[in-house]
Amino acid sequence: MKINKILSALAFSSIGLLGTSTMAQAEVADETQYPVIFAHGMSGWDSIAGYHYFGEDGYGTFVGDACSFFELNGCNDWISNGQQSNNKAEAFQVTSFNNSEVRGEELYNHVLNFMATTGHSKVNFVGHSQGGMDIRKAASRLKDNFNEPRVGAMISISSPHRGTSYAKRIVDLYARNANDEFCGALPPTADGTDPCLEFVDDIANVLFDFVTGAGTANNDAIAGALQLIYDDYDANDGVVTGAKAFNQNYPSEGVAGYVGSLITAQDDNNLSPLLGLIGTAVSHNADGDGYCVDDCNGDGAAGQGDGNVYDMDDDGLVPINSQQMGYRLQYTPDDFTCAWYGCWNPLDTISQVSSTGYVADLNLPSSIQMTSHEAVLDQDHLDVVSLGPDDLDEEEFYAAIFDFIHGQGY
Amino acid sequence: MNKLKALVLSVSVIAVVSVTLWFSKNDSISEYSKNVQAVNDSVTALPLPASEKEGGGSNAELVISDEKKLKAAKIKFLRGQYGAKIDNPYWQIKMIDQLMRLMKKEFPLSWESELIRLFHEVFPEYAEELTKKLYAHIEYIAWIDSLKNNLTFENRDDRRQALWDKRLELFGDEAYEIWEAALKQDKFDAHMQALAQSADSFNEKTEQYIVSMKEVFGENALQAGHKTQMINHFLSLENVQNDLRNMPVEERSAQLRNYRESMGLDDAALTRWDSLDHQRDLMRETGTLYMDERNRLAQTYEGDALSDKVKALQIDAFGETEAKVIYNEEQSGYYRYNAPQKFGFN
Repeated sequence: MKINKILSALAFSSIGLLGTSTMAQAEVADETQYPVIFAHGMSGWDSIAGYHYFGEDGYGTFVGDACSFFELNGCNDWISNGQQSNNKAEAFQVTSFNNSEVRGEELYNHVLNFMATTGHSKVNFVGHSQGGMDIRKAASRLKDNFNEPRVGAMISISSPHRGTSYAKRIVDLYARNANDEFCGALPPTADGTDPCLEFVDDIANVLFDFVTGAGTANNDAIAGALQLIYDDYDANDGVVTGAKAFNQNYPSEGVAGYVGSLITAQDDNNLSPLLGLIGTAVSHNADGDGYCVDDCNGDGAAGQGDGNVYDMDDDGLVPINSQQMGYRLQYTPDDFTCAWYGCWNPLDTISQVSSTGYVADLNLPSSIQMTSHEAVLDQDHLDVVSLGPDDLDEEEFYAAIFDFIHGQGY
Repeated sequence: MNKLKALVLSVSVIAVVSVTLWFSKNDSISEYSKNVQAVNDSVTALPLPASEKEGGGSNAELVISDEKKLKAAKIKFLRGQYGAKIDNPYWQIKMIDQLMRLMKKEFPLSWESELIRLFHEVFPEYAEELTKKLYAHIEYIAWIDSLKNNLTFENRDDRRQALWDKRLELFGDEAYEIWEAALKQDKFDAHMQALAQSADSFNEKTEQYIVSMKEVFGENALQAGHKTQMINHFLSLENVQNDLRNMPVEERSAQLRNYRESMGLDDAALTRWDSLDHQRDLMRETGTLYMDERNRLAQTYEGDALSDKVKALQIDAFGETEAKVIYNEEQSGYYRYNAPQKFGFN
């Protein structure tokens, strides 16, 4: 892609010298070698061909659908035709609320289905939020099944690899009461329905316009929340939960050719009102850019704060010290640019950040990997998916990810 | 000498342009782009605003002249970028969205008026329509934003209805084009809900499903991408799973093969699926036996003794690698083989 950008600029310069002009052609992302499988976050969905989690805000389109000659509407014109015509972009619905053991297993089975249907033998993974943890189990299972890694690039976006203090606050407040019931503190509903299910359903309704309900039969909101707390929540409940144990069982190393992560955070004043509501509901504002080994302050996430809760230290749900897996990636929007000899519209870019190194052991990031604000994308947790309105161009953002994956040889 | 310079320059330019074209990806100058180019030729033929036309210009006006060229270049570019689809409401809104982002960066305080001015400069015939849509879009965004602050709706259907009411109020019937993908999903969901209640046979449901798909997504629905998703969607229905569960193994295999074939899979894909189904059936058989034995052990042992016995059983049943995953899952409270098999999925 970069050589195209340079040559395009040169071409425009040359055309200018000739005193002529031509139509400026926007770039498209290079087609990836292997299909890109998207994994949604907690409470997410896929959509069959319409309203999509990984879509442009609210229009029902999927960022992996290219525009073809016959399809002018509802497509991403930053994506190459081959990405779609060669079945190289897909997203699957897993259980909306559950831990990543369940969701990762479901995703793994979806990928086996995909391979059987399309004949592809390897995939790339892009996971948002908890989807970034699910993909690790799916990648591990693929390696086990085929006795070799079957994942090219594995990229997480806004993922709570080392937990989030919001999850612990929610569980502390709502999941554990005298009877040890989730939402036990909620008052009973007038019609006698389960107040907890009503509560969860209300949140889902507020968050999302369309949830088909397909594939959501195994919902277990407690298990989902406990997954996002770093340590085992309760040593006496007979189960081992939490991100730390999951990281030990399903590391990112050895299961994929390239491992990277995009990190999101936003000032409290710019957060989506919904995320602000969640913070208010649990009376919590994460301070997520301090370093320590494990969850030294017991807030539910590894690391600690730096004493300032108001800066860009979390994205409304996940602190930045929880998000780096493998390399940290930088997203650079690249708007169209004009000079007197013409304009061009380069694709946005994703690049690898060198100063924050590589997180190989997800439970042992370095100080800089937990505290650095470098390359943190100024968007909240929901801005990077189709829950607009926001100022991120999702189609170009994900096209840049496709292009980056291609650039890594996958 | 001048001729030589001109020749060198020409050759260089031709070389650069040729190399550019050579390196340009085939997909970036795709059939679609060629189509855009063709339509764009006519769009860029639109007259530039009077203020942008090239004047004679003295040397003292060189800077102003360059500014004019810059503006002309921008106009030409935007016409090229959006001209082919400018009469399509969906792309109009997409263009407005993209330009809003740019204008907000460039003119944080006056982006709205600057954007409207741009409409007039780039697409004068559409300026009024685009301005109207801009305001409708701004209002729609504000309304969507306001929804996030409350729990207004009783259920998803209410919310969906409210969304469509608002879209139609602001955009009229063009809302159906702007949210075409969402509309298709609505229609498809309705078909799926009806199918989920159907007491028809598996084959009849299969036929209905394919008819619904074509009705919503067009005759080429089966040739389009997302085939895995489309196959999954039908099989995820509980009544379809019940149909499959009630069939003898051989019949189930045959029916699944027929279904996938009718969804457009070729022989190679069908063979891969046969193999995957078979592997999963074997695993399920093993898993069921494992759970039975595990439950029996739990009645006899407890504590560390039970743990040791179960670990040994896991390795015996599944082998070292798979046993480790089963162990991890059970530690987290997930017992994979407690849930019934979901045919076509696990």
